[in-house]
Amino acid sequence: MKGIIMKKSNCKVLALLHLLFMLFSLTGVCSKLAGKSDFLSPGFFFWYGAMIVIMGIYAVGWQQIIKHLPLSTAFANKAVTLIWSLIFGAIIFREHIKWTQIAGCMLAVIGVILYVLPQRNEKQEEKEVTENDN
Amino acid sequence: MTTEMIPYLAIGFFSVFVASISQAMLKKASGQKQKDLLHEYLNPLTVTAYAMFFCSTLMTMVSLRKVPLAMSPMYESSSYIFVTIFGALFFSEKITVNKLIGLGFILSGIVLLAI
Repeated sequence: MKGIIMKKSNCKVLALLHLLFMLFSLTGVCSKLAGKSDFLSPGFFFWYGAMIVIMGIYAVGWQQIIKHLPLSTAFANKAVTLIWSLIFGAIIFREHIKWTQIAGCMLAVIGVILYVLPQRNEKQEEKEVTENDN
Repeated sequence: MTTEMIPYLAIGFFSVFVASISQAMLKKASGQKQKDLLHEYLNPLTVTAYAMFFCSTLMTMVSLRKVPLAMSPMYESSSYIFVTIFGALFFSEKITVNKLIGLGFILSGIVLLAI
């Protein structure tokens, strides 16, 4: 039973992690908007400030997330920020998306899924834990 | 790639190495019992980790003075390798076949995105 509960809470942590990565990808948007504004203009301070605030929120959230997930697993998921950057670039800055970029993102997502999936012996261990708890 | 670029490339990879160590330190700090939420962030390990992370961003900046930005995905790719190794070394996180294949896909994806 504990095994199943742990799995459910892991899903919640993973969902939060991905929300955090989406937010983190916005730092690239803020950075680009700050770069487009005149140096030291109100617009520059606004976007640069927004970037710092988002990074702060990300750092606070990241520290809580790595409490619950293995470091390598949490870090590998960061590859999804590549997709968010592509999406934000296309929507906000009308950047052209190349086929190689879409293929690159798909490869990265497959990679993250493979990285996070438990291997056969890990699944076996998980099953044993569940059975023992029952 | 010119020979002049090599030391700057080395600085770049070293900066990623330092940033990856800081991640391991953050993970270590997250496992320690702290008396309250504030101390989860303001403890020596976490503060040092963020200071190291800050230094690594400065080193990356120095490196990119001579290394083309198009080569920066190489740095990003190496961070996934470093963190996987540190996870195994310091936190007994298993390096499984799945993880290695997944890592291969992530790195290929980054290369494809960069070209």
